[in-house]
Amino acid sequence: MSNKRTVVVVGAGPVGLVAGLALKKRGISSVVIEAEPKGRPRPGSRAIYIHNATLKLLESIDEGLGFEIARNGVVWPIKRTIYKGKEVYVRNYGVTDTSDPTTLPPFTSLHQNHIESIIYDYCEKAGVEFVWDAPVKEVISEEDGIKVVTEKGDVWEAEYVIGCDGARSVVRETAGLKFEGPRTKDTFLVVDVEEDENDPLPLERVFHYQHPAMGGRNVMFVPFKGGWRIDLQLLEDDNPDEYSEVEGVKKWLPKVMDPKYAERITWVSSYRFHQVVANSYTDEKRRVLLAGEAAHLFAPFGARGLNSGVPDALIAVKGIEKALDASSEEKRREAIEKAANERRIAGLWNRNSSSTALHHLQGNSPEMNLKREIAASLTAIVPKLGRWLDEGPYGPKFGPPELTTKY
Amino acid sequence: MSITLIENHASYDFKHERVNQMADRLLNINWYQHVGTIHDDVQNKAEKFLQSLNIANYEIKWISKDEIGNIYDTIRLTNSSLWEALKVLPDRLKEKIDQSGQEEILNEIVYHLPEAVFHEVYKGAFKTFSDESFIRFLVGHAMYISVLACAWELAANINEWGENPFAYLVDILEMGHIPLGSNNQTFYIM
Repeated sequence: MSNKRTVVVVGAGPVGLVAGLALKKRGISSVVIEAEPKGRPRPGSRAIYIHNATLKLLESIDEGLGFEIARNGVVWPIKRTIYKGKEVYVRNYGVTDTSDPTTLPPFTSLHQNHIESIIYDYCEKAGVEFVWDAPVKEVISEEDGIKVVTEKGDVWEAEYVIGCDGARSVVRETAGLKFEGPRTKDTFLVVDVEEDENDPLPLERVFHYQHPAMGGRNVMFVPFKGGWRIDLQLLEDDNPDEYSEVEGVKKWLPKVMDPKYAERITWVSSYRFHQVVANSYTDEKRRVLLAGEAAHLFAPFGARGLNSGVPDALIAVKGIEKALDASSEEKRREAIEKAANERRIAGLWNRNSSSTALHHLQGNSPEMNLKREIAASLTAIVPKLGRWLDEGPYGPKFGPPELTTKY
Repeated sequence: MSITLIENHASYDFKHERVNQMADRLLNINWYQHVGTIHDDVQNKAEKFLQSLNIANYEIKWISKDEIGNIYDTIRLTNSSLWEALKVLPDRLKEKIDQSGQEEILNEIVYHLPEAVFHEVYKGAFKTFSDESFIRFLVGHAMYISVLACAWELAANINEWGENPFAYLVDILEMGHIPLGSNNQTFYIM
């Protein structure tokens, strides 16, 4: 069977959904092809935090989308940073009305499954075309177009492909593009637990440097709608399996949370984070654009993954729209290159920023250990050092001038 | 007060020219880069510092890294006439600054400057010295000098607050050396 569309989006995770929706709203003929069957949970990273800048982008793609995601999440009013049991920073922003229909909140926190479900509903309403259970085998770029070949032998012909197929992207690999960059030395554990709505914890984001009950390991608690994410930074000699098996989690979790949460675990995973960016976000023939985790992988510090994946998708769509209107091959290529270059600059900046955050958190660096220790001791008289400790785990906030979006 | 980021380097505007100039100096020091060498000008600056506080009968002495020992035994500021002159300055500065209606600027200096200075001081200290307690000492030492140097500039256009004694200490730091402090009537430089 042969099918023709102007754009094929590969991958129906949140970034692919955004690309599909943006294309549809712009009237560009497209299809979203997903390897997994519809509704099946996919493995991999799970976002829980959407920045205001991303909410605005989503709202610009389809009116109401940003506001709907906002009101379905939570905004914690208090953030707190604790160093070896001593509070070094606290800030209370007051309660935010996530249902305000006129102003998007500074961020919203809800699980990726929920984010995807909302975006998918908007896709359905808009009439985005999906093909499920169709893993892609390869993309073949040509002078006048591109072919997407599935494992089942179906061939889709298009002018462009947006690769949103994640860390193991077939689009990236078969387009001859490569990830570049290191992997972290530190291992992190991520645990999601379900909230007890009858007796919930106070809504606060809390970061513990060297939690006294966890043998000096860093622990972070981040609320999201209906649950909590707990990030545990393991020490160099820790055996990740001891901490990451569910039974292992049940042993350490009660040391840092009410024991009831040990019976409410919904997800556990351990990571040594890749800090990689594709060597190019487009192929030689300028028929492919990469977006999301097909283009980059960062440690989650600063929530840069999905928050840069959404602009990747939107700018890819805008680049394609411009390319479709181009009056010459040169201008067509230019439009694609511009989109790819801008997003690669963003990818490099986000990667470097999360590396900065990782360096700040590094457990085996005598230099950083002493620096944090001195800073923590001075916070009573130099409160801005408390703020440095609080903000350090998230990396820089402001990007280079080439970016038209925040992340 | 505003902060501008240029290539990840912060530049502060405290809305006061003299304070900005002093802050700029402090934030661009290459801390401790010439420790281990001797420079006559450093001794001259130390003498001027003491003279500006009307302190006489002092010996200025170079001390090496190896001679430091326990810094809190070597430097015992509070047993010296230097401390008698220094300890009253913050209260007097504050009084003058409040009288001139500039307390907001002082609040901004106290809030932003120590943290801003901390990062470069720490970098220089960690690179130059291995003793943890000495590194901690230097961080506090640099913050103390920085805040008072800028507070003095804030008060400087008020009558009787002319020459900034801390400016001589900043000169020494800019030269890559350290005006460590005193013990009895000896003032140590490194």
